Amino acid sequence: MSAYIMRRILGAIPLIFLVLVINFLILHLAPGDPVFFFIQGGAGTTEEYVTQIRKMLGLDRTLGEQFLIFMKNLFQGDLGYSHFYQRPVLDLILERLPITLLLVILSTIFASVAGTILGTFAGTRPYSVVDHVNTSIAVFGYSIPTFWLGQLLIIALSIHLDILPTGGIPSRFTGGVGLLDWMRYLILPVISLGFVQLALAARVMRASTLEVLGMDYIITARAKGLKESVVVFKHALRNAVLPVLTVTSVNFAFQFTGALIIETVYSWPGLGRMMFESVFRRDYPILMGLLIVSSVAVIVVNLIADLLYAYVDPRIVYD
Amino acid sequence: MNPEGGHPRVEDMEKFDAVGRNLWDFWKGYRRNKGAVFGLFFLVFIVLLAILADWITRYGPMETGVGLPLRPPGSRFFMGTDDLARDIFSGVVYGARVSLMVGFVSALTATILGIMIGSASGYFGGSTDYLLLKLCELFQSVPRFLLALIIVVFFGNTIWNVVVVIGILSWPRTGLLVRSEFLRLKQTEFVTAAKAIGMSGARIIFRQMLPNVMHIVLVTASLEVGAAIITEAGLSFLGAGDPNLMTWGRMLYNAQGFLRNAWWMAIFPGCGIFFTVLSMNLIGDGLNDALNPRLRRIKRQ
Repeated sequence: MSAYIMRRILGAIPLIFLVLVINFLILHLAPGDPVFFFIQGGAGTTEEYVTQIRKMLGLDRTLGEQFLIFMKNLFQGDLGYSHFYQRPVLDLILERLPITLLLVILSTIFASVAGTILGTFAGTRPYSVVDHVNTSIAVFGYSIPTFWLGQLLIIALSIHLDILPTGGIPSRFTGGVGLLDWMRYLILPVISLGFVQLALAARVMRASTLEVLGMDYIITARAKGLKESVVVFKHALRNAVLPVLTVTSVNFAFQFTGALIIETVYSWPGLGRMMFESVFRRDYPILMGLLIVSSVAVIVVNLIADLLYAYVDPRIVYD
Repeated sequence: MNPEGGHPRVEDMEKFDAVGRNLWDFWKGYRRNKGAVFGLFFLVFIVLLAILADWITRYGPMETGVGLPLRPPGSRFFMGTDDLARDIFSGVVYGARVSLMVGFVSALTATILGIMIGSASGYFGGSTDYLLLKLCELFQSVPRFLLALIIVVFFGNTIWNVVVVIGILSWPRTGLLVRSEFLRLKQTEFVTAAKAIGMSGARIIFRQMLPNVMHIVLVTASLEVGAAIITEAGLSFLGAGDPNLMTWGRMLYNAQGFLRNAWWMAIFPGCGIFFTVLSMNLIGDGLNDALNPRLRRIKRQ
């Protein structure tokens, strides 16, 4: 098992390296001079000053040198320094990462649990009312942009019914709100972000439940006279849930970037806003840092999902 | 007309009949799916709106101060006006042009790339397959939306850049499907026969194998159109869209600050995205029902 994990991690390294190179090239080969953005196109700046800034940003070196310096710093756990924020990139990211991860993880849990339950009921009763509801949710979920769903929920639930906050999230420790009150801020963002994933999970779960229920071991279980609920929830579910695990892990990158957009809708203080501002400001160190963090997160999640398989399905043996 | 005489040749008639019969067969399969029929009609409706935009709107989509700002839907502005007193209806109608263009052109790009990479990978196998599969993995582990945003902002936020970026970043889905179908088809007898009579690789790929996977490619392409429309709307929603065009995503970006006082700024453009993408997804579903030979047989039984 541990050998398998090691091999997976080692196998991911070339992939991460390639992702780094590509991201680096895209950022640095793009037209436009970051110095220009740094001085805000200020009029009356002297040639000397521009050279000085260029040197400070490390842009006076060749592309190869810049990449080597970047890689060297990376191995020392240094993601670079943002001159706009006047702080190390790692600090800036770590400060905002937890709130973004909270959103991603909660919405993923919400989507896979709700989707699994819905899909199981739809799969055990094909062409029933539950099944039609399931199909409608799936079609609906695929077609609605998350950020618009977010806006709709704000208009309906926060503004017209006034039962949930329109956005923002107070700090858990210094915000001075109780746990229950704090959780109210999570509901809308989690639903908006999780809905697409829920649709997907429900659809996949329905199909796989239908398939599993036709298998021989289910017939055996029924023939033994087991109760239908035991057959479905104890025997079928465990097998049928595997594809849901796959789609959830494959879509993790999608969820992560989705979270960044949803943060804009609900004005969350996570990575989203910093990222969008850095894009328009051409803050290379922050963008590189974010691309690294998100690519690594995607690869790690896929690894975790693979290991979860073994837990859910004991027939899978890693060697 | 053929040069030999005034009457069409029998073979041509038969060919024409065969095409007609196939189309009719297709339509019989397709229309059984009510959602898909709705989707098709809605898509035609949106396409008509986009084509007739100049005739059915009274104001330009970017024209400010056409009335009072932030007016709710009424008789003069039937979708209301925004904060700069632009007509929302004009924006929605002209936005349809952009969304449809982006959706279809980027899906086409992604599909062509996917077919070329997927078929090469599946047909040649070996190290070609390995490299292309790794490339696919690479594309799937970068956060695509983030990359699209960065590229569009850095290389200039023109509509063509948006189209190209979305197209290039979305080929893996089609690519993987085509690859796995090619792997399967490679084992079949008709491909072995084609090889045995000395057909060239390109001819086998494009004339023999590709027609057999087109039904899957078409279904995926229709889903890809919807996905591209949502991605473009997301880019515009973050302010990275083409500044010279009114798009649905940009209208939602404008609406974000006015959710409390002007719900109509968010509702109508959002409905545009939702129903257009919904119709594309329903059409994809119908195509799947009509074109998937295995499914058709199951349904007949």
